[in-house]
Amino acid sequence: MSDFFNLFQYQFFQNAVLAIVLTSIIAAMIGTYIVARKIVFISGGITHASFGGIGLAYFLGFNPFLGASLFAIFTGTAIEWMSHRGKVREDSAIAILWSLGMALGIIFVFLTPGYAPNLMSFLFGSILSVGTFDLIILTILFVITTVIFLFFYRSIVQTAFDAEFAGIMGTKVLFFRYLMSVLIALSIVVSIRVMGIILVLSIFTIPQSIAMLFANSFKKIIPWAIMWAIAGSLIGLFVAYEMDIPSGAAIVFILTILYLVVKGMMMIKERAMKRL
Amino acid sequence: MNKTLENPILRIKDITVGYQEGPVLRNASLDVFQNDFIGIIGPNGGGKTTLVKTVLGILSPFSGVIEYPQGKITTGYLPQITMIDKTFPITVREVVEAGLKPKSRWWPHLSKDQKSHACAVLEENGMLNFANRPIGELSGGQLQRVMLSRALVNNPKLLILDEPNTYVDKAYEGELYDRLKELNKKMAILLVSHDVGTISAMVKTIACVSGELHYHPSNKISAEQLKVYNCPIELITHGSVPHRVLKVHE
Repeated sequence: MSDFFNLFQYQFFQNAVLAIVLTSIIAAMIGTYIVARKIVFISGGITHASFGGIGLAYFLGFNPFLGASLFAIFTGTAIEWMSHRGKVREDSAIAILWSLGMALGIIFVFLTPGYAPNLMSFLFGSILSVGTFDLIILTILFVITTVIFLFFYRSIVQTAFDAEFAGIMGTKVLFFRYLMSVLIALSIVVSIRVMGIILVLSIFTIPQSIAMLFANSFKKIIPWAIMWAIAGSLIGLFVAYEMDIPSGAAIVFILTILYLVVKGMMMIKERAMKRL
Repeated sequence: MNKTLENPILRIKDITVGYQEGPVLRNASLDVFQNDFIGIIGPNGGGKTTLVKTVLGILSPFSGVIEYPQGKITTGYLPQITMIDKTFPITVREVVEAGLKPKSRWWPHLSKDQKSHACAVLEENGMLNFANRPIGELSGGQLQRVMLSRALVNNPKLLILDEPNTYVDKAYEGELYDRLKELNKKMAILLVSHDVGTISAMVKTIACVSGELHYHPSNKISAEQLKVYNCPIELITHGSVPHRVLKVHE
């Protein structure tokens, strides 16, 4: 136990904790939108498609973060475009982009001569290798997302709830749809470092699901989701250290336990209320 | 006669409108006056919703124009209740506030006055006690009242209702019709329905929409006339709701 707290004196560990907190806050805000609009599957498509960008970046020798962002933004806006044009079966299109991204990623990584990047670190995250560049990107996205949510809260919620009516009231529906697609894509990409491609969606959905057990509007779900995401990921980091397992997996496990505990407490409370 | 009574508040002038696949509604014209209560009837796919979407500005007509001879008017819109995602995490108050526009372009939030006005409208519709509840906890009739509050919150001169009588219990249906009669004193109403029987007692006039638009300047319509208007719908009525379907007139 004291070993764990001694870690806080190391730069790499401070970076990891800061990255986890920033990721939790960004994912809590964006995830609330994802869960409310029921676009978890779309977000899964964006996540996995971004792997193609990572592979391409390795192959051509540029920053993998940039490659992942380009692929994620392209996939997110392409799905949004297809869904409002209504010409293509959306779920099939997502599945194609999802697996195509993964396939391209694997092909490019295998074609890259010489040093083969560690695939595992992208699939499962590598929290202890968070560097200054990652933290700068996370901080910038944290500031942008927070400002957009505070300023455009009304338009974001109204567009997500009833786009047709929001449009009648003069809201620029398409602008907000695409803005949110880009934000979803970027926030997923920056969260891959901490959570890994395979597990990243959990931090965009489980804290929100816990919050929605007792909070019933966007405004209340976001702060609660931030709290649960930070709590779950810090406890997860501790467990990962103690048991020497990947942090992303530990975080998902802890978040799920938290969900079950809160759900159980709500059920006990409901029963007690009925008895009264 | 007074100018405001002579001039329509909304003039639909020879519009042809539809989607990429082609026009749904051709050469439709309709004048709406300030105290009108028009029932828009017709078969599914006949263009009722297309007409409404054009009036609301969601669709632009291929040809023809929508005019406001007395200047731009505010419009309230009640969509079909089945279009609403009841599981969305949003409170009654937030739903109603969606019907208001922020005063400034640069600060997209509502003022205190606007928020208290939204509460006042909820009170008029008997839903103030539910202001902070999520919409998922409401019954069909309660949700209908909330959506009606959203349509009314910007004091519209024209209220458009799309199938307000579907999926709502019959007790609420009667209540809704009384409420609409009251509202009709202050605003024109366009009521879309596939069921002429239920609405014919409350509307003043009828527009049959089935590829084209035929205006019928009375609320009495017969099966024969519907045939003439090329408007194949059934004349059916339900339960205790007041209705009348009168004989053919000359």
